[in-house]
Amino acid sequence: MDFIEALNTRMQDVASACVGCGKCFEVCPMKGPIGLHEADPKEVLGGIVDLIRGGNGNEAAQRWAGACSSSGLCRDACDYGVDPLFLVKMANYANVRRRDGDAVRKNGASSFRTVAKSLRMVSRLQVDQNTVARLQPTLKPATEECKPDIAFYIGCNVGKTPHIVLLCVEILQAMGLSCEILGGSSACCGINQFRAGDGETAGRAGRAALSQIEAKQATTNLSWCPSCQLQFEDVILPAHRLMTGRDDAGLTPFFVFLERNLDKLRPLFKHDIRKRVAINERPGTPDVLRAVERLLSEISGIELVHLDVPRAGLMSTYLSVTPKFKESLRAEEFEAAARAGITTLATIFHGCHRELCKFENDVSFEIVNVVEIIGESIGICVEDTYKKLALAASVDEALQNSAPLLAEHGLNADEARDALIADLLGAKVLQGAIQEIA
Amino acid sequence: MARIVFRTPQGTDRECEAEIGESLMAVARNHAIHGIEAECGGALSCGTCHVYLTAPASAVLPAPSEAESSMLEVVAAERRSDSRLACQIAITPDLSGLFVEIPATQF
Repeated sequence: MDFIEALNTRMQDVASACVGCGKCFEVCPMKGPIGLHEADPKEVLGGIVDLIRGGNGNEAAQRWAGACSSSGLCRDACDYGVDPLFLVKMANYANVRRRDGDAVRKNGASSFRTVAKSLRMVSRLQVDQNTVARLQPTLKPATEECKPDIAFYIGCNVGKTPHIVLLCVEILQAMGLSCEILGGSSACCGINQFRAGDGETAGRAGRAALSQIEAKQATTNLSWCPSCQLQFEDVILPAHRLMTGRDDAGLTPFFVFLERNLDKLRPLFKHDIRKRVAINERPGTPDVLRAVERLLSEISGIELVHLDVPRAGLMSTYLSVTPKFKESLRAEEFEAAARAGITTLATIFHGCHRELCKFENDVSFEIVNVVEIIGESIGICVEDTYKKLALAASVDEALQNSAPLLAEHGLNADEARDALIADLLGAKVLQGAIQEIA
Repeated sequence: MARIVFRTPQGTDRECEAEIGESLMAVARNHAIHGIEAECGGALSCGTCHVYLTAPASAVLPAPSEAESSMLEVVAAERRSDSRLACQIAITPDLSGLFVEIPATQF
C-alpha cells in the first residue's frame, strides 16, 4: 500500500462514517464570514461527502471546505464519533485535486518554494549564520553514545521568530534535558503540498521528516507548530500506520510536555513576574491551551485574565481567507484586553505572534510569547528580533538595522525587502484565495 | 573520491572533491555552492536543487525516476534534456569529472 492508497482508505472510511447531520457545520465559526450562515447544514455535509467520494459536491461544500481554519469546534459537535475536521480537510483535498488536475504538483512545489524562500529571508534578517545553523541544522543521525532526551521538531515558519525556538531549547536545557532541533524547510511536514492537492509529494515529505525525527532516537519527540502537529496526526501518521503496521510514532506538543513535567520545571520558576496576563487563545488545540494556562498559573505573581471574546483558527494565519473577520476578531480581543487592564497579551503560537506583535505600539499592553514569560520566570531572556523588525519605523529602517546580516548571508536586498514586506503584511495566504463575503 | 565541477550562472567554475556514495546535492551543500538551494533536503518535494549535467560523465547516469521526472516538470528555470535534480544523483567513481551547470534561478 502506498501513501495515496492509505489516504484514500481513510477518506472513504470517514465519508462512510458521516451521517450528514450537519451539526459540525452549525458550530463552525467560518460559515458566517464566507456567506453560508443560511445554508442547509445537511446539504452542505452531503456535498462534503460527495467531494470525498470523487463527485463535484456543491458550491456551499466547496466553499466551506476551502475556508476551514482548523478551529476544531466541530470535533466536539459530532455525536457519531467522526472527526469532522478531518472530513472537511479531506473534502478540500479531494476538491483541489479534482479542480486543479495535473497542476497540483506544480502548485504544491510553488507554494513550498514560496514558504522556503520567505523563511530563508526573514530568518536571516534576524540572526547570524551560527544561529541559522542551530535553528536549521543538517541531519545528523544519533549515535549509540549520543541519543538526545528530546528531538524538537519545530517545523518551518517558527524560524521567522527565532527567539521562540531559542527560548524553548533553553527552557528544556534548564530542565536538565538534552535537545536536538529538527526543522526548517528541509524537514517539512508536507502541509503546503497537501493543501495544493499534491498528496504524493506531501506524503513523501512528511514521511521523510518522520524518518529524520526517528533517526534522532530521542527519548521524547516534541513538536512546536500546531500546523505540523495536525498534519502529522491527521494525515501522515495514520497513513504511515496503514503502510507499515507500526503504531509507535508520535509527537507531543511542547507546552503539553512542559505541563507533564511540571515537577522539573516548577523549581526553576524563581522570579516573580508581576503581570496581568491574557492569553491569545486559539480553539484548535485545547490541550495546548490548557497546558499554557496551567504553566502560567504556576508562575508567582502572574494574574491570568480570561477575555470573553470569539475565537477562531488554529493560528491567526489560518484566517487569511477571511481578512475582515480576522481583523474584527483581533480588534475585539484588543478592546477587551484594554478594558480588562492587562499588562500583557501572551501569544501561544508563532503565526499569531508574528501577526499581533506588530501592533504593540498601538495598544496599552505588551505583546509577548508565552515562552518569553516562562523564560523570564527562570531568568532566561532572548530578544524578540522579529518584533524589532516589525516595529521599525519603516521597512527601510528595518533593512538598515539588518544590513550587517544581509551582508553576512549574502542576501539580495531587493528580495529581502519583498520577503519582509510580504511577511509583515501577512500576504502569504495558506489556504488559497480570499473567500469572504462582504 | 570523485572530482566535480560546478559552474555558476555567472560562468564561474568551482572544483570540489566528492565522497563516493553521497548525493550531488550533499556535495553542493557541503561545499556551500551558491545557487543549489535544496530547500527540502532531498525529499524530492521542491525542485530547488535543479542542475544541468553535461556529457560525457552524465551518460553513465541512470535515467530519472518517474518521481524525479515529475518534479523536473515544475522547476523554476528552463527544463532541458540534461536537467536533473542533484538530490537524486549518487556520486560514483564513473562520475569523476562531472560538469554541473547551475541554472539561473531555483525559485
